[in-house]
Amino acid sequence: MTFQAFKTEIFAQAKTKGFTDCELFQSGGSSFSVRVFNGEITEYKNTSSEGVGFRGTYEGKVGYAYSEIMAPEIIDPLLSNAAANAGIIEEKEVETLYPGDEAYPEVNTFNPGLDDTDAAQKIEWALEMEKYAKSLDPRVKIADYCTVATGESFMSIANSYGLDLSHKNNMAMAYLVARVEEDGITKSASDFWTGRDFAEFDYKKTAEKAVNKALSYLGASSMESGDFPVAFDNESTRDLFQVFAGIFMAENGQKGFSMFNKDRLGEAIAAPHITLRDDGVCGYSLGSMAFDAEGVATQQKAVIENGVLKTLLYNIKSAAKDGVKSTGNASKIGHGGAITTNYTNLYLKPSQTSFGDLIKPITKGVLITEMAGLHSGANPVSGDFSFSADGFLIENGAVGRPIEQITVAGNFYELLKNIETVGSDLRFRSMGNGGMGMPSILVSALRISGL
Amino acid sequence: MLDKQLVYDVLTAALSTGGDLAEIFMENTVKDSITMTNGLIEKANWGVDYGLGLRIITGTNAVYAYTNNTSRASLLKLASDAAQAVKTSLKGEINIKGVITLDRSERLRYADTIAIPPEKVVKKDIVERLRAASAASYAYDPLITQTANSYNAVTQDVFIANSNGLWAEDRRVRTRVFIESVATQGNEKQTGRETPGAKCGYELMDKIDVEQLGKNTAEIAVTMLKADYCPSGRMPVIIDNAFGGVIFHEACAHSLEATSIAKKASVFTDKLGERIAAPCVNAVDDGTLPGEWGSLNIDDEGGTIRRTTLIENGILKSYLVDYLNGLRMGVPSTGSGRRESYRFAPTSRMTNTYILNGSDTTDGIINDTPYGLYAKKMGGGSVDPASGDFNFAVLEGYLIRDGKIAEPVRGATLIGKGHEVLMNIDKVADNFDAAQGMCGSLSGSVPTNVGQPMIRVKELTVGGRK
Repeated sequence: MTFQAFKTEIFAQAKTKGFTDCELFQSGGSSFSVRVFNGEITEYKNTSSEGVGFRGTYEGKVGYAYSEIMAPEIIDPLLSNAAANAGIIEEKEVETLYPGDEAYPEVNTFNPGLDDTDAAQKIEWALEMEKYAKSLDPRVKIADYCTVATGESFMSIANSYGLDLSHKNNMAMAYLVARVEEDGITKSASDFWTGRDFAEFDYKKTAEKAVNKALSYLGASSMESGDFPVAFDNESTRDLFQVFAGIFMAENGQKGFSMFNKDRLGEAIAAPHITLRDDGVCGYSLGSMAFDAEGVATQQKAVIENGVLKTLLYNIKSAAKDGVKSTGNASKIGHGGAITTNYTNLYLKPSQTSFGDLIKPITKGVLITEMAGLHSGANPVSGDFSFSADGFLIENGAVGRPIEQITVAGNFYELLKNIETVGSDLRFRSMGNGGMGMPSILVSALRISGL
Repeated sequence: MLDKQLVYDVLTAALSTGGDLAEIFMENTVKDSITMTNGLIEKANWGVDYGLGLRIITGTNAVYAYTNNTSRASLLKLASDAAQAVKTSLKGEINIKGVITLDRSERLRYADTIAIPPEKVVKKDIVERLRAASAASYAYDPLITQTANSYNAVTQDVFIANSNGLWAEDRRVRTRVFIESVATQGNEKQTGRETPGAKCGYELMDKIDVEQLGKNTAEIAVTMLKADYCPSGRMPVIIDNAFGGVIFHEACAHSLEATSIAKKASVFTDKLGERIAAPCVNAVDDGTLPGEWGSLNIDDEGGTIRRTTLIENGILKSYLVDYLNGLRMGVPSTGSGRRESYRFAPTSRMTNTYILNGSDTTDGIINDTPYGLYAKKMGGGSVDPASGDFNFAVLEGYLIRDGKIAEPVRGATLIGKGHEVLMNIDKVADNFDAAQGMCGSLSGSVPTNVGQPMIRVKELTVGGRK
């Protein structure tokens, strides 16, 4: 069945079953990827999938059900399960469906020309990228993961109020993990490229970055424990913000799962030079979005402006609880998900300070470039974190020897206040809809545990 | 799920340009979830995941394609496109197999014996049980400010067929509950969590006591809230049973998966028959245990599930091998080919992976430790199989002073290299227990059990804030 036919049928049946309003959300996509290993194509993947999520108000409460089968016989189980699910909801604040906004921002996230590049060319690049990475240095043993991929995704929201929105996005990606070996010690590092136009793709650059990074880790050892100034490079800053992004979602604060809530708006919660933005339409990102998962138009906004908490991120329900309007931050993990909240394109506003200048004032400190255990090592409620990390010593304002087997520990809420410098080297990572980008940061002191 | 003629036609189309093996993995998975926050039901969802993954293996390489349109036309197109990829990309030898043997008399048909299947469960009963857990958490201590409880049930019907004549069907039913308490004092918050699950239906609820679990999680949260930060540095670490087994899962067993071994990307490559652990360490991966969270009737490429001895008295005995990596390594599959869903090509994964009981006692180990960290409950972690570097969080920890469990400490992280830790285990107790987790890797997120008795690691780096 087509989406239109399925929608017409399920909306009609929902009405007779007692749903007072309803919505059909569709998401899906297709992808191509090729992974090479030792000069051979080890995996070639071609995929397509789609599914629908139903949401409707039944006896005053919203119930959900979803399916990857779009056939007439699934409509009845979808509706009866959605009604049963609505029946057990106890929260006082109810979800409501959205009639739509008058206007939505323009976005262009689809390049029809991306399809002109055929599979053979992508295979060629993947093979060349691996070959080139291995040619760069005799210590490069293997590219553990070397892939070139393209993907297309789409999403539609239609409801019984006449809302009818759709969006599509395509993207290309290349990713390489280089493994280097010296004196029996192995190190690996990765780099990626994302874009919407292969003309901007240079496999040599991706390979060089991954290889150089891996080589720079050779000879790493641990270091003494203590409190040190810590710089995070742009990638690890993004990892850090990704783990703790949930503290800016209003629904978490409302339930006591974040220290931030509406009472703290207007408070200085970060160093005065910090501005954290969440822009639905964002020039840095490949993932601009015109509307969120509830069909609300996205916005351009500062979450933190000059250190002051300006807004939290809202969907319709959490906004109603705080007596404000949705900020267009409703989110859904595809058709199978329920409405939650997420950032659209979240980034720390970069400064003019180059990375070199950012670390210049440090006599002795640590540069973190890789972190592991991001989810197990963080308490997203208290803000406490303790991550396994790799990186470099910083000595007399310059990057020194590589270090490994350390942990970096602190508290994210305190860290926001202790960011001394934000760099200029913002790097964005987009994943279909939305994304996050961070520059390097320098934090005055964090606990390093090593020897 | 598919008629025989269509299966035959799809496999034939898949091998039309060469290729050694074509395989269909089809699934219809029904998922139920109910989420309670702070004692009130907030979300409930139900849904069907449905689709088909087609794999063509040629030599030691693979083409994988999937779709959730299983009409005849769509599947034949999927197969011929994939066959085209074999021809142009994998340079497969054109070696069309005249006969695909689907006429083997034996068709494998498995299904878990389920007392109360998820579709028969009364939602109100789930709500009442979650509410009881939440109430027990709040009743434990006024410092408990939030609770999060949820119920998840999955019924996965799979059909696997391949051009070597395999035809297998399996129904896997799994049920799990999450019970979490948060304690707050000023700006400090600590969390306690229990997540029991099994390969069974709603009868799980009769085997667990949700109120007791609610109380336990509250106790952990309150204890940790009052705890000081963990001192950092190198020290002996005692890791208790059940989820403590995550150390072995992360630090060792991931590096025994053929995914890493076949690429020689693991520290344990070419180490079969060699000592990789202290003599007191014995470890297995056992997917045959009835009803256990990580168990299976067949693996996700139709392979036979077995108990694999990984380490015997410290000596490496076997890797965990799936069919394709087995071809690359020249060894048979150990029945370890698993995948989250039709969206993933299978690769070698764990099932229930355990360190077995040893000869020490828990009291004996603690009494024998003048100073160290006692990790009573572990959180999650991760590992880099190439270097063996691992990390994991301690959810509930205490210092050991003079052979006794002393004050609680929080915020500790254990880091190290898997192969070094295995050699540094010097005590293994006799109180084995298992715990449930979801393990993420190349082929997605799959249910696995971790488990061990209490063990002691002579020295480990403990990261903390002090």
